[in-house]
Amino acid sequence: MTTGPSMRALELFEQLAELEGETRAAALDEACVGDDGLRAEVERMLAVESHADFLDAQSVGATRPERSFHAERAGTTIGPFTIVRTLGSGGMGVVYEAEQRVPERRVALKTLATGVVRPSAERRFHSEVQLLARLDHPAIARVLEAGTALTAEGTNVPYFAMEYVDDARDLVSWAEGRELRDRVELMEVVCRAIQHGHQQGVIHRDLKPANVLVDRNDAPKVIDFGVARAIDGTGESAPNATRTGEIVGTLRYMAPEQIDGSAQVDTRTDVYALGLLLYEAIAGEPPYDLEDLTLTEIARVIREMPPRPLGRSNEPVPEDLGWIAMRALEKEPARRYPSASELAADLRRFIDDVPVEAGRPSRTYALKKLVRRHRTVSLSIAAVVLAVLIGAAVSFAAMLRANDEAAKARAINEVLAGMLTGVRVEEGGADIRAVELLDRASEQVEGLGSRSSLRAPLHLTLARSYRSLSLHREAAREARRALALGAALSPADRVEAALELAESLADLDRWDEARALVDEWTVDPSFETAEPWVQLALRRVGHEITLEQGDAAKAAAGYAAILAESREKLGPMDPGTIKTEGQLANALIFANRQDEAAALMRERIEAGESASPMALLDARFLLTRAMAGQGRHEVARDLLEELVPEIRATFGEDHSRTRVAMGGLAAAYLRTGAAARAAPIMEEVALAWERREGPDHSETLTARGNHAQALAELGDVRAEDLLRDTYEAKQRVFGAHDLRTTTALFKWARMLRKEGRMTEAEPLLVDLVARSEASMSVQRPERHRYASELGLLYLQSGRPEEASDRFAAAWGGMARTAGARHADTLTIGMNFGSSLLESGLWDEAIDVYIELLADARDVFDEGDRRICILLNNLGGAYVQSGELHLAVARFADALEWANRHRPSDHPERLGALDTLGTRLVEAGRPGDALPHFEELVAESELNPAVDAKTRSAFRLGYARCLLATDRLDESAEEFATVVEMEHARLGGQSTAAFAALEEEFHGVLDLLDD
Amino acid sequence: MSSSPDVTELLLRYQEGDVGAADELVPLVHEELHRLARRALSRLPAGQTLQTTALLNEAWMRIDPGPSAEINGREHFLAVAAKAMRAVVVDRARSRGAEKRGGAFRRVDLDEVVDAFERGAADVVALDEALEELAAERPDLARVVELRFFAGMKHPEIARVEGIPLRRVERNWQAARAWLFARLSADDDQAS
Repeated sequence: MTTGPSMRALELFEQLAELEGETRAAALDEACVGDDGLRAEVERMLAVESHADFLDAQSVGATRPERSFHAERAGTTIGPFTIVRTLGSGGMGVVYEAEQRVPERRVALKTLATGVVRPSAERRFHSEVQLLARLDHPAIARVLEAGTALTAEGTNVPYFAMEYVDDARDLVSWAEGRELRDRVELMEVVCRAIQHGHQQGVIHRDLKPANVLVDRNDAPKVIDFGVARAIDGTGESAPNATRTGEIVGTLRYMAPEQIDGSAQVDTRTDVYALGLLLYEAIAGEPPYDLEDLTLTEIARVIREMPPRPLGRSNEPVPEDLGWIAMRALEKEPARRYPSASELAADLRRFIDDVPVEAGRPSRTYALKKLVRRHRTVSLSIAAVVLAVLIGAAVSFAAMLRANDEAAKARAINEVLAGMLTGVRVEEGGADIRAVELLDRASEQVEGLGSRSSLRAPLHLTLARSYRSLSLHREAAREARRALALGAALSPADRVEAALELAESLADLDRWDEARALVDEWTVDPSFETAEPWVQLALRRVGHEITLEQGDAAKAAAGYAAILAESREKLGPMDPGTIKTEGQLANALIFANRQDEAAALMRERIEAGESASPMALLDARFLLTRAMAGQGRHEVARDLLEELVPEIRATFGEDHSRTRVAMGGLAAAYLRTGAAARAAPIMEEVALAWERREGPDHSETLTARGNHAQALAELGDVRAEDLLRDTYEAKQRVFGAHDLRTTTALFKWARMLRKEGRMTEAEPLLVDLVARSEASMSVQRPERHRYASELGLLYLQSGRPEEASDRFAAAWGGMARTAGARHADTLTIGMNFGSSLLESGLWDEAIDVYIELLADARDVFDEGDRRICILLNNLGGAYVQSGELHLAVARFADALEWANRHRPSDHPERLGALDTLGTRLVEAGRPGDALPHFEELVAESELNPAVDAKTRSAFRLGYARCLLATDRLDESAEEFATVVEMEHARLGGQSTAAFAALEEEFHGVLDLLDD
Repeated sequence: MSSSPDVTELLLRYQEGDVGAADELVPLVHEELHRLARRALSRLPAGQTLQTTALLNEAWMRIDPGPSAEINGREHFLAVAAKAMRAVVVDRARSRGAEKRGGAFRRVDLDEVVDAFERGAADVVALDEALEELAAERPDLARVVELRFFAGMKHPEIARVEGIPLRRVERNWQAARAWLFARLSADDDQAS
């Protein structure tokens, strides 16, 4: 039987496929030094390149159309045309430069895929072409002729002849390096051309840079007008096949409604495409980064993601030009320019320096933003400004007291309020001097005594200022004082005071009080008078409480609704909108919808500088949490290592965000096996929370639990008490079924299990699993983690069947919850495999391991040793089920893995050599085993990582292998060495194993005598 | 269409993660495809190539559970149908080989499908066997061949069905094609 190229050759081929020409030849030479066999194998594979039709003949290649369409040679005629050269090929056919004799002219000749034309379709094709022929605009390449021609093979080829644009460049390559004004003017002409088409009833439908050519006089020509439609009409025989092929090429230029079919393709679809062209002409890159995405992902990005903001690169883009592009690129057709001519008109306004239409609707908003941004002041300046203002205002207020002009006072308060909140933490950073100033101001305000009309707004201002410094207790105090003087506040301010109080209480874990406030004030008549951001924020607190009570899905739905409203009313860049986004992401993380959370935060991060640096830090942090939820702990850890110092520098050592981020980093260390690094950080964080919020605060307890877990993993004796105490405190504070409580119980039980205290751990785990089954959705990954933990306990207690039951359920559950390729799912699957092996269910174990291996190769790093473990276990299962040849193949894979990822003298690699060698001997292939043993003996000889016992075991394998290859002399010599080594190792003491070894040795000597 | 409710139900179960449903689905789809192939071919003018994609689309239309079903339905179906299609073609090619040897060569409509396939690979049966060998080592590569060659799926569709990036589908296809080419040309060398 012949065999295909080896897997080594295949892998080499895959690496080479990335390279071109000489680089490839060099890489091939390098990889095949001294291995002509390998080279021959790879060369045999490379030979496929000269057999383009292999496996390919019957499919209309969507991605490599040049192979499927037969390109005619120069000189060939198609109808009245003589081909000069091939210009290119696309999803629909080949385009040639061709000559026509009468009338004498040069044309761009486009031929279509063969085999799609039937009489009825052909009629339709011609009527469409007639429609196109009506287009007469200097910036539209004209359709000169169309028809069908018989080819040499006797098939009918439909073709178009279009005006040939000499020396043409496509829009994007032309635009590079041009003046911005020139580019915009050119786009104006393109818009007018499209408008002309629309007036003639023709929609282009396939506008993209390659379809806008610019000639040597810098005049644009739009080509392929309406061609997509004309061709669609012929696509009768295999509609889906044709369309899929086209989608690939043009998907990135499709409008959202073309992708999901949500709306009729109409003139506004072209307006969208014009927006894309404008964007690319300005930015030199498309508005979405679609590299490496699958088709579904591309579709989602185009439908849902906002375009990257313009002007990210070194060239600044005027804001109003950006607005024009963004308006044209609106997802909703109704929000775009209603016609191409209106887009053209706005471009003209931009060129003429008059205000553009696109900016106008949000102009007042933009102005407000401008004012706000200008208040962004640096840390120390903020403190100074604050000091001056408060000092001035308070003494000014004292002055006013004499005159008692309440109206004047309110006016001043308004100014003061504006200035003070201008120094929010989001903009300036926390500074202890600011706190001192606020405290002093608070005293002075109290000193104003009965002047409630003056005091109330000042208390509110102070509440806001304290909150912006995360001083929730003080903020709550001031907000309460303001509310107590409620009559002196406007209704809108009363609602805001309630908001400040509710938010502060929520941050203080005083949920019941916060809930009562939200319930009271959202139905209060004054609620409607409050500003939209206040209304939205107060409702947001309500959802925060829902989340706190454990209903993440409901909270997420609530946040999503608020987010939509907030984007609409406050704009996408408003701090309130951004905060809601963060909270939505957080709720999604709790609802175990990690992918959505990650996408939301990525979007925010990609929107980049337009958000405040603090919002960006929050988004980056939440992204790491989502990644941790996806099981990508290494990536999360790396990102956090970068992020924590930035957060600390920005928010200050004592800010809650700093503590939260440090906790996240420590958790990442814990999850990546670095408990020693996690423990001190966790301890510090726990103490900081306790200092700040008290011993029973949720954050304090969570941090304590994590600290205890880290200690447990380090085998620290303090761990047990700490784990039990944390669990009991959480049980008391949160109740038995709260996730935080069950997590603590889980950690405690696991520590006991790991210490082998099974009788203590078992009732705890049984209780835990019962609790989770009673109150936890099957969608919660924790539920499956708990079940798996109980399985581990059974497995280690020698009860593999019970373990299998738990693992099987947990594996399926986790796969449904977190995905089959989640690291946790694979871990549980591996446990399941072990339990099947322990139960002697070899075939079942084989099935499980095969499935796991397929996913593990994609999920884990290539060098992750779990892959090696899986291979070895699968091999072991094959040995047990008597399929020795399959076992040998898997052990060979394991060795291959070790060759790639471990140094040659690494114990894991030596183990792989030994296992493979031993199994080869058993499989009757001692000749193949021999080189492995020779290497094994050489590598382990003076290897400090190999102990004496292992070394003799390796040599014994070698001795047996020699025996099996009939090299009796050498085998006997090797046996003698092993006996000697063992004798020395055991210090002359005789064991059963040693006796057996000696007996085996004598057997060999007897053979030798024969 | 007595089988369609079963197929629909199986598809739904398969979508919900019941892997076992796929095993039951394959024979049903297999049968469906046979019938469709016969019918589709009887309608076509002689010599016209039958596009497998068209065939599969048609099969899908007949068992489409309706607009309420999730879009995965079609992709799952295609994935399952790819296996079925391969089985149909290889079975037919194999039995045709036997008939030829037995002297009882007789054209039936499925042969046209097989002909179409054999234009891309000289020996479908040998390809099937080679594909099995490849699948033992690199199921990911073999899968792309199954979906593309036997089910006529386009790379973007494969990317979607398999949930892998388009670029990787391209690479896997290249590698699989090269491996199979080398494997099958080795057969030829030996035969000659």
